[in-house]
Amino acid sequence: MRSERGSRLPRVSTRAIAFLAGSLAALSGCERSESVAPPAPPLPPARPIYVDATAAAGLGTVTWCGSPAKEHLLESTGSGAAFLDLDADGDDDILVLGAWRLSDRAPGEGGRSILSRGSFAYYRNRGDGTFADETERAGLAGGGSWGNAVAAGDVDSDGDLDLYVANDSNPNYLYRNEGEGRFREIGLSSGAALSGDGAAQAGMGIAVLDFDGDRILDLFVTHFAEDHSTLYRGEGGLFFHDASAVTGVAKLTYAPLSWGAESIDIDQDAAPDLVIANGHIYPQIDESAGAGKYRQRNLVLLQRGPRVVDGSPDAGPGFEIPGSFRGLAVGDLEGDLDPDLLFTRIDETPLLLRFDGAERRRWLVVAPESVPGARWIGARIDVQAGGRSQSRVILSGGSYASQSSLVARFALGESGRAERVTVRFPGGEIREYTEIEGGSVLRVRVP
Amino acid sequence: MRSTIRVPIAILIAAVVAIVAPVAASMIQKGGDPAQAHDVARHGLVTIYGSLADSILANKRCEEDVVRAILEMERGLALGALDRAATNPAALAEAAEHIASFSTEGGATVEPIRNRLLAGGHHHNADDTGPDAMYDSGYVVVDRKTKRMALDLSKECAQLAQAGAASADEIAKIRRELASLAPAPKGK
Repeated sequence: MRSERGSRLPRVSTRAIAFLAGSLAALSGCERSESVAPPAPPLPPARPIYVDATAAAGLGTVTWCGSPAKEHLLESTGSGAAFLDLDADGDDDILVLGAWRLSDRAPGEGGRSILSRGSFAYYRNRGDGTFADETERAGLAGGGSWGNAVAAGDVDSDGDLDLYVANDSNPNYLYRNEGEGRFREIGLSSGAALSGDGAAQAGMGIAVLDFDGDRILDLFVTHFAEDHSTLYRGEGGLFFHDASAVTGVAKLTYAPLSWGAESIDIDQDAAPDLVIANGHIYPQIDESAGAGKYRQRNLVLLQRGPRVVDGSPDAGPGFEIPGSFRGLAVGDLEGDLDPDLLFTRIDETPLLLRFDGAERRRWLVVAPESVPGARWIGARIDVQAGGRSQSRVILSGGSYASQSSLVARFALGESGRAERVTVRFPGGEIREYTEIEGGSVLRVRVP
Repeated sequence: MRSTIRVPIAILIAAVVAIVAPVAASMIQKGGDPAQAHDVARHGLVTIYGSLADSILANKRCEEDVVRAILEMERGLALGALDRAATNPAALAEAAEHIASFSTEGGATVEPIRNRLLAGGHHHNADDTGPDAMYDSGYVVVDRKTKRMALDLSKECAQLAQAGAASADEIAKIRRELASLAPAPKGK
């Protein structure tokens, strides 16, 4: 609806529509009020006004992306950004990824020169609507890679946000938060920068999960076709090893070109599974026999003991639909607690997959009590249910060019009850809840 | 081992053709023997191509020397940090970073240079491809096995750093293993 001044609807019509909607909701059982009272008159709509505050706020670093001529696809995809409270002072800071600045190809010249290497930009919120560029001081310049996806969360459970960046054809970065707004890039020595055989991969999307229920977070990164996605199993203390081969992830993800990824316990067995968005970048690949397809099917990896199996054939008709998929986000269409999936796909409508057939009593959704503040990002939630541990972290970013709803969804298994839920916020505050029934939303007050 | 450096070859051959071909054409126009003119042109091109090959191979040897120097610098810095680690455990993290940079022939700052060379068609081990390749694309003297060993050593060192202490035996073990990491011999 447009602003009051510009609206073509008289106010009485607006009230009538609101009343009718409220009445229908009440009649259909969606609303359980004891008395039927006319709804309060709607507030007059405010006029949304956005002004360019970039320069005034102090965001001055240019996001370069290749050459002006944009000869390659990658030069036109841009880079991601995130609001997140990196210095744990209760307000939103800004992180912007960056790529390389290249010259155009001169006539007769085979290559292009690098005018500047990729740099990230970290802007610390001063609390007054302006930001200080503290990229160098924070140690977040990026080192010159081509960043595709970033996930921010408290990966080592020390009460502050760490950053994991998936780089294209370069080692991934893992920035450990060392406090006071300073970070140290430890990707190579952490074991999460390269594949197990030491190769840099084409990092696309990220999922953060506790794959094996040991309460240590693991990392999952999607990659290009004919190179497997990588499951980095956490060893504790921000050390990882490539468990792709031993878990079967490598074999099942080798062929497709993978992008978005999310961890969802899709079969409700209290062990997280993975959903992956697939699709090639070149339509011409269809003309090459045996080289894969442009429009690919998405993939479900179900956890079965220490390994994964391809659960896509049994995941319903939604997973038989091919496309050149990219983004993947998880939300809840109907408020029934189920994880519904939203995929973006090239040159087509998005694909929205509704989750049917699960047992509501087995879901537990942990959500903020009100509009989440900066400290909800990075909150870590541990659930003990049926003798098993599950852990999730509220991420800013992750997947590929997508953001899932800011809740943590757990499947409680047969018991349908969580014995204990522990929420750890950035900054160290902890809240604990016991004996939580499944089929519910646990509302958590965020400090 | 094969090297392809397309840009200089294309430019220089074009320059040579621009000089030699008109000379040959001029000889023919002036009533000269076409076969002789062809010989002149071919001789000129082949001579310059030979010199160019010398230059390309010299540059390639020079590149290898630079990479070896980077490796020894990183190794030396790591050993220096390990010396300090007995009294200052924080130096273990520093050593871990230098060992990681050794594993990748220079770390994040060299990665863009290697990518630029690859994008420009320059491969140091171009005939060594596929899943059984000894080298990662663009790597000069650190093969995959050595890279893997160095990465493991870097991680081990970083884990000691996080533990906040390392025994003399643990530091000595890392020193030994670091010293034993051997890039490919010259003229591999």
